[in-house]
Amino acid sequence: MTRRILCLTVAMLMMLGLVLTGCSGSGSSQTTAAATTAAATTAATTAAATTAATTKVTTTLSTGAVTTAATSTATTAPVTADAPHITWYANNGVCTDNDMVMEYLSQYILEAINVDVTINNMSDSDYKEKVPVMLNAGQEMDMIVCNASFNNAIADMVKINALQPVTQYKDTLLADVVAVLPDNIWKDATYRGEIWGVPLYKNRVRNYDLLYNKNLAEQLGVGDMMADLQWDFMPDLMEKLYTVKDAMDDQGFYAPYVTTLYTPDSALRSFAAVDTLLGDNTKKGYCAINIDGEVGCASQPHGTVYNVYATEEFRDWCHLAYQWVQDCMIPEDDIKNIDPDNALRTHGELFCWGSSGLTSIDPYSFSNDYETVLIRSTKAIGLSNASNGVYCVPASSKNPEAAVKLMNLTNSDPYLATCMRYGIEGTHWKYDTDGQVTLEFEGSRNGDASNRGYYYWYGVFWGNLFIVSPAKQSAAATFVDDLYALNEIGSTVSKYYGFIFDIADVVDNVASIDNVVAQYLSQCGNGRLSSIEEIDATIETFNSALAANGLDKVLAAAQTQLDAYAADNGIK
Amino acid sequence: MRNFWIEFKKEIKKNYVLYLMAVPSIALLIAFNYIPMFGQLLAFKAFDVQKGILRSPWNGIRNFTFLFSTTDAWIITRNTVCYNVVFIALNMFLSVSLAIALNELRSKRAAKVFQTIFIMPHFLSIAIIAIIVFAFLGTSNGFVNVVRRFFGLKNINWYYNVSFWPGFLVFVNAWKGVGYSAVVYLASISGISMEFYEAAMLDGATKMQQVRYITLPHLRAIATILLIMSVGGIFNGDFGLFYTVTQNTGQLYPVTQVIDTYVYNALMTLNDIGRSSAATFYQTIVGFCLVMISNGVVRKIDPDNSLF
Repeated sequence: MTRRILCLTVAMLMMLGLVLTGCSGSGSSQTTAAATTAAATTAATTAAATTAATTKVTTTLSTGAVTTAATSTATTAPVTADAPHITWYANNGVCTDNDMVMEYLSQYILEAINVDVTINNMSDSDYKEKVPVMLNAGQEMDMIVCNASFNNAIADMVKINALQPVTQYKDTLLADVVAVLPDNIWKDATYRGEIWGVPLYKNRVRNYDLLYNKNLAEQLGVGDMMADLQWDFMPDLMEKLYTVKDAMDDQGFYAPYVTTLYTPDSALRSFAAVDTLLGDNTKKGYCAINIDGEVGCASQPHGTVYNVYATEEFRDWCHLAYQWVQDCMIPEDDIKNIDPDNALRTHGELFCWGSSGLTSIDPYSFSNDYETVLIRSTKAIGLSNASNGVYCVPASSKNPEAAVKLMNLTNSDPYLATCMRYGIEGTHWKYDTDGQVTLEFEGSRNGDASNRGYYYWYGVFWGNLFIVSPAKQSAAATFVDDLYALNEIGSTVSKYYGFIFDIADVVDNVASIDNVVAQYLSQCGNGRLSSIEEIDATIETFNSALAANGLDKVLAAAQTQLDAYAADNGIK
Repeated sequence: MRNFWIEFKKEIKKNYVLYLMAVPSIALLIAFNYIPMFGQLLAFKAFDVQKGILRSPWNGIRNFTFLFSTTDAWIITRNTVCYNVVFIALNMFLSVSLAIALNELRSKRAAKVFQTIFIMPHFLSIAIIAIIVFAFLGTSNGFVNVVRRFFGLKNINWYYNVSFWPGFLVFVNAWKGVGYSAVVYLASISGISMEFYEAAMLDGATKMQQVRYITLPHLRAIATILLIMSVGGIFNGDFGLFYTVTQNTGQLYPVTQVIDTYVYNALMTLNDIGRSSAATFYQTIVGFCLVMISNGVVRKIDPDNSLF
C-alpha cells in the first residue's frame, strides 16, 4: 500500500512537471506598458503573463525641458482600451535597467500613437541565432531588423515570403520618417519593386577610426606625430605606427603588441576601396567590384565583378599581416583569446585600437587614467548594397499598420530616440544648463562610466541616429553635423547603390564557396602562417578551391545582373 | 479483438500506476520525436513562410544538391564516418574496461568517488570543455606553451596544426563520454551473480580469466544494444565537439569538418531551411538504414541480443 502511494505520488509529480514545462515562457527580457506595476521599477514578465495582464499603467510621462533638438514631435493620441498590441524584437543587448526603461518607452509609445508594444531586447548573438528561426517558423512578430549580418538579409527573407511590404504606407503612416530621411536611402529597403521597411539612418560609409592612448603617446615622445597623423588604408597607418614601435623599443617599454586595430575579417575594406555584392563586406570578397572614383584593386576595371582574393593587393595584404605579427605590431592570436576583458587597454598598456563610424568620443570613456584620442581615416567608402539594416514587418504580424506607425515614431521622434539610447529622463539623463544632455548628475543611474544602468551609444538599431540629442559623455554637441559631414565625405557612394544580387540560380555554389572562404580567408589574412611561402601556397590553394566550387559561375551571374541593373538605371 | 480489449483493460487496471508514470515520457517522445518527423517534408519543399510547410511548393531533390556539389563532400563524409567509428570502438573498449575496474575495487566508497569523478565530464557543457581545451592549447597563454617557453622551446600554434587534432578530438570525446557509458556497464556487471565468480575461483581461474569468461559474456547483450544504437548516429557529427572545441579554425577543416559543421558554415548566412532540412534528412535516413542493417546482422548471428 505504501509503495502504491509512493508510486502514485511520483506519477503525479511527473505529470505536474510535464504540465509546467509546457506552460513556461521564453525567458527573454520583455516588458509591456500594460504590466501591473505602480513604481518605476518593473519585473520581467513572460510572454504568457504579458498577454494575460489587464491593468494599464496610467503614469503621465514628463517630457522635460523643451529644446529644439529633443522635443517630442509625436502627437498625443487618445489612449483607448483596444490599442493594438505588437511585439518588437530589438537587438541592442540588455542593460541593467532594461526592464525599467522598456516599460517607460512602452508607455511613451502607447500615449503617442496608441500602440501597445512589448519590446524584446536581445544580444547580437541571440538575435542572429533566434530571429531567423522564428521568422521561418512563422512566430508572431511585428517589428524586426533585417540585415545580412543577422542572417536575415532582405533579399533572402523576401524570397521565402517572410516579410510584408510597406510601400503603401510611405506617404501616409510613414510620412514623418520620409520627411527626415534622405530620398535615396530607401534603396536600402527596396527589392523587387517594393519597399520592405524603414532603413536605419546612421553612418552610411565605411571608414576606420583609430583610438590611441594620448598619455602613452606623450610618454613615448610620439605625441606630436600622432596628433598630426592622417591615413587612408591600414597599410599606410601601420607603416606610421612602426615609429611607435621603435620608440617603445628604445625606451624599454614592454607591450606584447602595438595595436589591435587589425582584424582579418575586415580585410576587404582595409586595403582597397572595394564593394561586395553579397551583403556581408567582410567575408564575401569573392564577388566584388571597385568603387567608382576610388582606387580599388588596380588590375580590375570599374564595373567588372571579380574575386578580390585572387588579386595582387590581397596577396600583398597577407604578406603585410605576416610581417606585422613577426614584428609584434599585432597579436599572434585572436584578441578575444588573449585579452577577452581588454585588460591591456584598461591598464594603459595598449597603444591604440580601432573602431568604425565614430565622429567624437568622451576622452575618458575607455579609462579614467588616460585620455583617448580619436583619429578617423580620411578614406570613407560608400557601398552599393543594403548592408546597413532595415526595420521590417514580418509576414506573421497581425498588426502591420501598428508596426509601421511604431517605425515612423522611432525614426522621427527626437525625444524617443534620445530615451531609447540613454534611458529615463531624470533617472538616467537630464538636460544640463547649456541644453545638452548629460548622464552625470546627482542620483543618476548612468553616473558611473564603468557601470551605467542604461546606455546605448550609437544604438544604431534603435533607429535614426540623426535625431538624437547626444550626451556630453558620448559625443560633441555638433554630433549630428559631424555625422552628416562623415556621410558626405563618402560621396564616393557606389553608382550601383541599390543593386541586390539575386543568387537563386547559384545558391549551391554560394553555399560551398562560403565554406571555402570560412576555411581559408582567416588563415591567409591573419598573419599567423609560418612563412611567406606558406601564405602564397595557401592563397593558391584557396583560389583553386574557389574555382572548383563554381566561382566562375557566380561571377558570371553577378556580372549579368549588374549589367542589366546598369542598363535599366542608365548607369555608365 | 474483444478479448484483446478485455485483457488490455485488465492490464491497465492492474498496473495503472506504472502506466501513469510512463505517460510523461511517452508524451514527450510523441511531442519531440514523432510529431517533428512531419517537418521532414521541408527537405523536399521550396519553403514559403506564408504558405507553411504543407502548402509550400514541391522542390524535388534540389535541396539535396548542395551537399554533393561541394568539392569537400568526400572529406566531410569521411571525417564524419571515421570519427564515429573510432569513437564507438574506443569508447566501448574504455567504458567496459573502466566498468570492470570499478567493479573490482574493494572499497565501495572509493568506487563511488571514482565513479563520480569519471562521470562529471559528461555533465559539462561543450562550451566549457572548449575553454578547458583552449586553456591547455592556447598559443600565447596555453598551459602547454607556457611549459614549453619555460624550457626554452618556441610556442606551437596548436590550432593551426592539422596533425594533432584527430587525436585531440578522440581524447576529448572519450574523456567526456566514457564515464557515463561505464555506469551503464557497471550496472550490468552488478547484476552478475557472485556464484559464477566463486565457482571460477574454486577452479583456479585468474582475474583476467574471470573477466574473459564471465564478465564479458554477460555484457554482450547490453554492449550489442548500445552498439546498434550508436551505429544509427554514425552519420551525425557532434557539432559542439567539431565546431566549438576546434574554434571553427579553417586550417583544421581537412580533419575536423563534418557534415553538421559544413551545413552550418554553408547555410548560416543563406537562411535556407529547406537545404538545412535536406541535410538532416540525409543523415537520418542513412542512420536508419544502418540501424536496420546492423540489427539484421545481429539477429542472424545472435537473435537474443538484437534490438528488435
